[in-house]
Amino acid sequence: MATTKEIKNRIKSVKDTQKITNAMYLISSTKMTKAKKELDNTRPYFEMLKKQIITMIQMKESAGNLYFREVPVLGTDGGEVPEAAVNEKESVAFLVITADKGLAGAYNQNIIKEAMSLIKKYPSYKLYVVGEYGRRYFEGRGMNIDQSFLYTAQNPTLERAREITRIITKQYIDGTISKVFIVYTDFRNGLMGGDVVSEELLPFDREDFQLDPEEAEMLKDSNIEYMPDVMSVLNNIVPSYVAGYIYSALVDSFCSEQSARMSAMDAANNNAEELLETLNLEYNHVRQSAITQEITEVSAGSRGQKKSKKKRESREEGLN
Amino acid sequence: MNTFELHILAAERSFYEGPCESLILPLTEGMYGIQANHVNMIAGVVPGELTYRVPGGVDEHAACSRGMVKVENNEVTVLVDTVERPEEIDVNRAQRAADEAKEELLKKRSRQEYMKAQMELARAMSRLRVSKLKKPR
Repeated sequence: MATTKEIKNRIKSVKDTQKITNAMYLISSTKMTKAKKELDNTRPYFEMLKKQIITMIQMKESAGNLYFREVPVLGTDGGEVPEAAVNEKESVAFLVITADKGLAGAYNQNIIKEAMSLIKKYPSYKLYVVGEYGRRYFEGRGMNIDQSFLYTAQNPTLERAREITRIITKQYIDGTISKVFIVYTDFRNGLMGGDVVSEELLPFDREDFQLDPEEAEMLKDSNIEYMPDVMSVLNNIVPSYVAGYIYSALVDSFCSEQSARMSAMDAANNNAEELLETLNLEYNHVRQSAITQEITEVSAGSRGQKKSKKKRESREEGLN
Repeated sequence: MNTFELHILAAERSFYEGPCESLILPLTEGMYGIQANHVNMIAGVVPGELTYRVPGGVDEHAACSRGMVKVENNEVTVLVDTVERPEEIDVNRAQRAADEAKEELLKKRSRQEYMKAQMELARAMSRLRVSKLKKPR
């Protein structure tokens, strides 16, 4: 059995670790609230933007816009326009959002698993990785990363999202990449660190931009002039919308990361609590047995003393 | 003077909400003025200087970046990535950005990069211009 000193040391180290995990828990929770608040500030803008985009792509003139996938529309002769054949050689970009740090449960593993399964499907790909963890992983696998981003100062910002958008849309417009996928963690209600989501970011699906019937009715009545035309206005604002989308994905991922870390740290706290309990019990056991032993030794010693005293006395008596 | 409702929305905040007499802003086609009862329209906004006048007040200036403007039934909505008042602009930073952009332009790289630097320069220059319009205190 360990000595009391060893156990005491152990208890102290567990307590210290618990202090750290507890602090990490608190930090994660404030970071999450802050990021969420910042996202909420941008909501009205991006909702408005989406509404405008929706209105515009209802116009005939928006057909053939670079940013939108053409749905098979009925041609003038009533026949369907054939869908473009899937090109095997087309290059696809992946934007994978991971965390900068570990210690967040299975958060990073889930993202990477999803990304890997998606990447396998495309022979030619470009990787854009957010987060140090993802960068290390892909680099370790010998995969070519086109660009990696870190969360600046551990916080997703709109400026960052714009920079990512600039890089990706540039490639998209050039035609170097034909599709952009984004793999991130959706926060949902913050239950168990969110779900991994992979979505096609570009081109947009027109189906996702549908009007309510009510609004469609209203739109018919209003006649709006476009300056200079629908296409250029659309091209002017779509990158902003993409940035907004990436930003919300960044914040969602960031919140999920923090919430995953919170639950991981919570579990660590509980474990430490449990460990402390058993260690305390063990410590008391050891201490008790040490005391018992001491008492036994003392009493045995005193009995021995008594015995020898008696012996001496009896000897002395005999002498007298 | 007739007024119209003006909403200026930047990405992270609502910049101005309320009545307005006139609005001048940079569109893809050039500087453009909007007054009350303007015909319904939608147009693209480019980085530059935006000026609006609240009823009975003086002209308010701001630097804006890319976005769009919508005029519908005497209600004007400006949606841009960022809007800054003159006093919010960091002159040194804008100057640095302008210098960097000019340097990029001189490097004569790909067309794409040239365009990007040009945009960067336009943004920085509009910031610098607007920052000079700071109200005397």
